[in-house]
Amino acid sequence: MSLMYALYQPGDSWLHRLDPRAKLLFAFCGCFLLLLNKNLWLILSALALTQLALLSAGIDWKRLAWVWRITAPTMMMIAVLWVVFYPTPGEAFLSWRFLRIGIHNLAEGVAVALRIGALAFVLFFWLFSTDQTILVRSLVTLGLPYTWGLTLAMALRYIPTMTSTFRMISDAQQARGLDLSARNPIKRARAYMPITVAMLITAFRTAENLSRALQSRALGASPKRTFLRQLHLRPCDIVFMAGIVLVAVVLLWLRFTMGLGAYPLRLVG
Amino acid sequence: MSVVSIRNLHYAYDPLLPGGEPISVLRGVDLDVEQGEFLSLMGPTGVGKTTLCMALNGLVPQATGGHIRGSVEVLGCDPRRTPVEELAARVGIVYQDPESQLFCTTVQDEVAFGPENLGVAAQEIKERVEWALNVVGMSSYGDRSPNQLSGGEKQRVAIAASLAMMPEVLILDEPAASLDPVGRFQVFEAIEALCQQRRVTIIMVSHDAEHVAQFSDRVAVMWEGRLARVGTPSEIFFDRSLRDQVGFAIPQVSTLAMALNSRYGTAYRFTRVDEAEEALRRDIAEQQAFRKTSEVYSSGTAWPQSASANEWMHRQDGLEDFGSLIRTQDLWYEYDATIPALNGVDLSIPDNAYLAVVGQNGSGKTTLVKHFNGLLKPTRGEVWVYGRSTESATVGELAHQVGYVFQNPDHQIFCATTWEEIAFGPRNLGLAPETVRARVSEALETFSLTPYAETPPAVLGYGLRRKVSIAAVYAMRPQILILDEPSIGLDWRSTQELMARVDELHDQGHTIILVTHDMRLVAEYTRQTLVMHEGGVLTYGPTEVVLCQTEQLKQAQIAPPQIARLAGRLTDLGFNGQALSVEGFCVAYGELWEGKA
Amino acid sequence: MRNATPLVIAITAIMIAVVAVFTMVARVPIPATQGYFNLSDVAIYFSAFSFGPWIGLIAGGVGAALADLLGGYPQWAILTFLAHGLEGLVAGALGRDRGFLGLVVAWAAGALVMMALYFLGEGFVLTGWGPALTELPVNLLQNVVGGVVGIPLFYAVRKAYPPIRRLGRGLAWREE
Ligand SMILES: Nc1ncnc2c1ncn2[C@@H]1O[C@H](COP(=O)(O)OP(=O)(O)OP(=O)(O)O)[C@@H](O)[C@H]1O
Ligand SMILES: Nc1ncnc2c1ncn2[C@@H]1O[C@H](COP(=O)(O)OP(=O)(O)OP(=O)(O)O)[C@@H](O)[C@H]1O
Ligand SMILES: [Mg+2]
Ligand SMILES: [Mg+2]
Repeated sequence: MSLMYALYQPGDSWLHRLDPRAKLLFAFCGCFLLLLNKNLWLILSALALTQLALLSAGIDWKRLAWVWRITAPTMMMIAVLWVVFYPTPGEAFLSWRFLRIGIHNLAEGVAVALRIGALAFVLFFWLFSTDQTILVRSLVTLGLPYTWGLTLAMALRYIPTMTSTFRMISDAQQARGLDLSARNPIKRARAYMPITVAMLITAFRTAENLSRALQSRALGASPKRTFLRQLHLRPCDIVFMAGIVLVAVVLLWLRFTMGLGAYPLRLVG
Repeated sequence: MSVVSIRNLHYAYDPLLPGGEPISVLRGVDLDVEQGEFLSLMGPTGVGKTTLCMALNGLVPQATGGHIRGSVEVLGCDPRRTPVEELAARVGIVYQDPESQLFCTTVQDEVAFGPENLGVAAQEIKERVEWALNVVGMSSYGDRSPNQLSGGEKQRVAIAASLAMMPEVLILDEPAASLDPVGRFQVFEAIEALCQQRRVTIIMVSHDAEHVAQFSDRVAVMWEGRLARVGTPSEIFFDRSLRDQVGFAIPQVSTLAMALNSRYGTAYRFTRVDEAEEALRRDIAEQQAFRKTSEVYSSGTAWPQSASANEWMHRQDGLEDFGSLIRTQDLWYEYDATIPALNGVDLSIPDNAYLAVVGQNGSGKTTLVKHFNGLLKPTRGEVWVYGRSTESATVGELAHQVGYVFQNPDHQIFCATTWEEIAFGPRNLGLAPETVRARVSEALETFSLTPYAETPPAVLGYGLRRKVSIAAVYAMRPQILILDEPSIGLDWRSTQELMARVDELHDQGHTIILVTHDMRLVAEYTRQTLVMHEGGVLTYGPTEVVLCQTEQLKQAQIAPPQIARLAGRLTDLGFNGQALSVEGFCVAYGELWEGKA
Repeated sequence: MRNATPLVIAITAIMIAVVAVFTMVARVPIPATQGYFNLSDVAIYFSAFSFGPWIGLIAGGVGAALADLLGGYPQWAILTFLAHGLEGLVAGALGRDRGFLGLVVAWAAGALVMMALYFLGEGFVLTGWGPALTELPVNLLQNVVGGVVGIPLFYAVRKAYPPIRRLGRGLAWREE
């Protein structure tokens, strides 16, 4: 089981230096455009573009492989089910009962499946290159209340801690003879009770101590909180953001006037 | 001028159980602390030390509720009426559990958090962060995540985070309880630097008598909701009636001083090794100069050589008939198939052993003992328990023979009553209901938990929860009992009681494996000692032999108990390896004094 | 989160982490298949019943969405946030401070909301109706486990650690 608690990979490339808000804008526009899109060629180019961008920023290719490995089963399933559920309209090279497979639904299935991967990479464009503190900080500058941002940052901080607590508790209960090997899934889930109860009690103790620590460190003392790390939009960030907006508007306009991206194989209608 | 002044403070928590009695904790505390003073607070587990600390920064009663009476004044404010976050700028507090007070994603943000809340300008925050990290010696760790720090490093960051708010009073609640000797030393060093360089007033809770004696100006002892006595370390540690009543730890050299005083009519009052060395050296040198016989002792008795321990270790290797209960052969272990934690451990633990496993944080102690009950399976090599390889055995099967008490009692406790909690293990073993009942009653009896049989164990105080977690494993009657750091957070008397129980089990023929950082427990109770270092066995042998291997101990960064250190410093006067316990030292002292070799 | 006191912030953050951990780590293999189910819904129902709709919403939504992000499925995060968040909100609004029957009703409502949202979201936007249909039984199993384990869990934790009732509510102190 592969778990990555910190998606962020430290570095100092153009992508890392790019303002987090610009990256967020990219991720947002990218997702929006992709979801309106079923064209195999456009989706493939989106995949190529994001991968090249990530690689050029020095992101380890192993991380990219990890994304592919994780998304592969879903993509496979989507492609297969799409073909099964949506019989091809035109000529089919295989038809059996309700199943009609042709170039049209095959391409569409593959495109919709790859779109899942493309969405993942568009989001990882943002997440792989932005460290958690900066990420939360940028959300706060965009209007998220500070306490919400703090909550989110703390949740991220405690995920690895809670994971190791969970493992430790699971070890401790098994050492007392807890048996987790029931066959029935519901029975098996109930066998986890000694672990989950101990885990939740431990979590409450942590929460209580945490709230004391927050108060002892003057949370909410001054109405005007300052920040050690300041975010500044550089000219190139602004240019980048303007570029994203421009491209997005143009693509959207083409989508609705000429049907760019509405068909799996043809570019326009 | 008094920085802190408390008069007749009473406090009771609201009942934990619906319809219960309020929990009266403070019952008339009086205390004055001067500017720049270093005050230590000692007292048994659950006596209310943490409560008193929180009464100084207003969390008690503002965050905890309950009833309060009497007066508290800190830096001229009343902590009950001042919002906690306002007072926080002037009264810093560092808690025992490092995990819940480091909540940011990097060390730098952590230290900046306080000043940011106070609205300090960005440039000044930057300077304060640098300064605070520098004071605790963590300057190069600014970009790390707290998850990547050791326990000692975490606590130092927590101290820095408090410092960055420039508090005038710093309260430390058992800041070093779960650290290894190196981590502890680092933390105390940072605190001392603060007290001496910046004249910050320090109030520290600690069970660690040796460090208390070394650093504090005054010691306050808490007992039954009051401060039983406040005085200098030597006043407190040499107050015999107080000690009999409260049962707090005293430095080993002070115990030695008292033993010497009562036996030889001397009047020693030392509380630190250097004081002891100075005093003993002066007296013995005078005596020896008087009789001019010193040369007889200075060369004659040698320390046991490390060779003997190695011999002992090798004697067991591959000896099937030695009666070894647990044997490992070329044991390697890697976490997630990448992080090496054990590299090639060969070991054989005899039946009815009383084994101490010591070593730094992260040296692989827990990893090793988790192999003995099958929680971990070797990456390479093999482990046999009762002649059976653990490869094919499940944890549940091994639970019949091997009991494992985890470091944190809260990782086991989940039942609605203590009775149920203790019955959980025996039931899992598939015992008949009558047997389960008998075992539970016996375990409750043995650990004096009978009054709490119907209480939810999770609401008990820490010391009792610790006992419940041990009783729950004890009720399974394992032939082999593994205890991972049982004494953390326990006061001296509870530790002694606990160890007495464990000692009884050993006498009944059980095998005990004790993982600990407390070298006094090792010296006073165990028969064999295993020193782990960087995933390997550094040395293994009878405790009295291992404790003399100064070279190895130094390499593993373990400080021997005070008496062993003292004897080591006084070898030139003729103290030798027998002088490791108070008793042994007294005998050696007597011989030197009277001139009989 | 109407009044974000430090205690509410701390509980919310920790519950988010707990939901994420129950999703990512507490994976229970389903015997005889290659599949897993996770205990995320157990944790979500638990936080909703114990701390009410707001913490249910945030812990459920953000916790499950973070698990998606960290687990390598960021494209699902928004939908997950909505589905699990509303599940927590509904379960908390109907189930907090109620008896056993109330909890069952709250659970059923939460489960319906969650399955409906996933189905619609996947069908309309993410994957198309075919895959969305095959997801339904998986989500149903998740929710059945969530209720069958989550409701007894809620009672068990309350019994084992009664002070939890007063967490998340302000404490009054008195001077004599
Ligand atoms: N929030 C609470 N509600 C009710 N009782 C509490 C609460 N916190 C602590 N207590 C009880 O008050 C008593 C004093 O607790 P406190 O934590 O102050 O002791 P302590 O001296 O710090 O102990 P330790 O050595 O274990 O840290 C204990 O019996 C404990 O069980
Ligand atoms: N679950 C885990 N995953 C990855 N690495 C681990 C895990 N548990 C321990 N380690 C690593 O293995 C090494 C040995 O750890 P172990 O817990 O055995 O040390 P220890 O001697 O018991 O330390 P301590 O005194 O802190 O309890 C350490 O470097 C630790 O970081
Ligand atoms: Mg305490
Ligand atoms: Mg350990």
